[in-house]
Amino acid sequence: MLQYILNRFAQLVPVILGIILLTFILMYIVPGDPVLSMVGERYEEETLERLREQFHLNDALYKQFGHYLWGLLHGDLGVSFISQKPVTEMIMERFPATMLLATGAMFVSILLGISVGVVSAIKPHSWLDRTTMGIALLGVSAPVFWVGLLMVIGARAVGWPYLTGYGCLPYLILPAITLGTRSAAFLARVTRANMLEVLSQDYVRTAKAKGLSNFIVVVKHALKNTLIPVITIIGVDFGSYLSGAVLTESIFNWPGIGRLALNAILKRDFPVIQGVVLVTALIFVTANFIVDILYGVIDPRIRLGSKK
Amino acid sequence: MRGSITSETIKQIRKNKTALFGLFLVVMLVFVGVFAPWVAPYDPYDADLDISLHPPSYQHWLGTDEEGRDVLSRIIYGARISLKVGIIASSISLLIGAILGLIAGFFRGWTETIIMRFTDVMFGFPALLFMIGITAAVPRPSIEVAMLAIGLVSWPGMARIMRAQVLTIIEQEYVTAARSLGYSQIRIIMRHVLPNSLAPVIVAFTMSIAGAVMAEASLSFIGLGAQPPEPSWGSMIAFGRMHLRGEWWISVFPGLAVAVMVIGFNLFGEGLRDALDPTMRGRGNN
Repeated sequence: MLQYILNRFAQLVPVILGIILLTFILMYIVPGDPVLSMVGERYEEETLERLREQFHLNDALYKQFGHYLWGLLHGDLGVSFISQKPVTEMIMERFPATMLLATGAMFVSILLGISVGVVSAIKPHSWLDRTTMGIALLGVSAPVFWVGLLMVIGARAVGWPYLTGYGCLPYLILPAITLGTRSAAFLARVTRANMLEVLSQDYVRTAKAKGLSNFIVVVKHALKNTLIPVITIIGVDFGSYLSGAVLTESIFNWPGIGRLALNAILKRDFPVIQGVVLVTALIFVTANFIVDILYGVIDPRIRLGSKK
Repeated sequence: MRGSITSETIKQIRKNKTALFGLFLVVMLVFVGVFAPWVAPYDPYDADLDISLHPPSYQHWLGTDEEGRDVLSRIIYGARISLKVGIIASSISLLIGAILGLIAGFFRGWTETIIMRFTDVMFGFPALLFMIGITAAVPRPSIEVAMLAIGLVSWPGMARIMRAQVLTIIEQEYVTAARSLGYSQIRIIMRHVLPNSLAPVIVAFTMSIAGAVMAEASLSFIGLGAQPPEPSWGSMIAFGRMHLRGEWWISVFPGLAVAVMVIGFNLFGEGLRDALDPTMRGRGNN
């Protein structure tokens, strides 16, 4: 098991280094002088020069990268061009809100996705199955921000008071449903397909032949064996929540890193954009890493196969 | 031999109701997009403040927006933008992905390691955020920049599929035969490897159009894609945001249009996959 984890970890390191390098290059090739956007309309040449010195913009590219990397090792993501605050601090302030939103979305996705998938699979081709799968197809294909707007329209129509805000749990409900809808729908489709496949296996037939009730067969045998693909989806989706958070947070005025990124983009505040892209990418690969490890825990075949 | 594969594919798709439904949606949207000037009841840019924010009616089936423009006509013209972005962006990612995957799978060794590690890195970025990063790096956002950004970010999946495909093909006897006959690498790639690895790539291409359509809508919604007054579905939804209290039609219908296009390409892509890959037949669409 340890060998397996170490192997996976060894694959992770170059990916992380590559991500850091690519984020750095992306922001380096930005046309225009970043210092100019900092000083505004009226400025003196000396101020520009001083700022360039301060941000090491006159150094050679490799030196700048070295500086960047050194800063990263100390948890330093640079300073915002606009607010002059440390980017790390700005991200840390807003990070809990995004994590809360992502966790809420995951909760919605698992609860809704798995239960709908199981219910559909128990009676395939029934009207219930067809209706829920039709809705799931729409859910997979609809844009996140559109689902969000539908939520707002619906909430206004019924007079739901917790529309945009932050601070108590009811405010989380609409954003979490919005962000979780897509993966819930996807999860429902995958769970159903896997359940149908597992339910047709010999051991399930054996279990039924033993006289076990339908419920026990589904929960104890079938559900457990559909978990592997489901875990992958949850893990991969967790990363995509961070992307979706940009859109969801903007609709519901949620004070997370998605809205931070969006504001930074509108003001062309590059250190902040760079910081958010880097942090989310790192979370994304870490989530995938954890999924891989969980795989190994659940299914020994994967763990042992990797040794070859 | 290629001909028989194609007719077999068509036969399989004709039997698959879901795939046919997807194909129907795609064909309908392409038709509407191509013939927009004839299909659309009004000019999509024609503003008339006298009829601003009218609800759906007999004259304006899907209502009018803030400036009194016909929502249905704008959606119809919007199909052009979405299709254009979907096809061009997917072609960019197909080109990059297929070439990198082909090189990695064919030449193996260090080349493969470097390319596939790079692919892993690209996979590591949340796609939308990366696209946002690229569009933000350019001084002025436009639909062309968005298209390029989507293409530049979406290729890693294509590269992985292509590489896997090439890896199985170069083990085949006909490639070994071609090699022992002393044919050049280029000839082997062009005549044997490429034609035989196309099937899964075509499937991935079809599905990536759906992804690109969604990405364009998202970028335009944020304001980093199509610019007003272009009738992009994403920016129409963004403008409708100001009118969520009563005038729901401005944002609801364009969003539905995005969903319909995405469903069309995905269902058709899934059908193609099942038809092209006999081992997948009958799964997922029972």
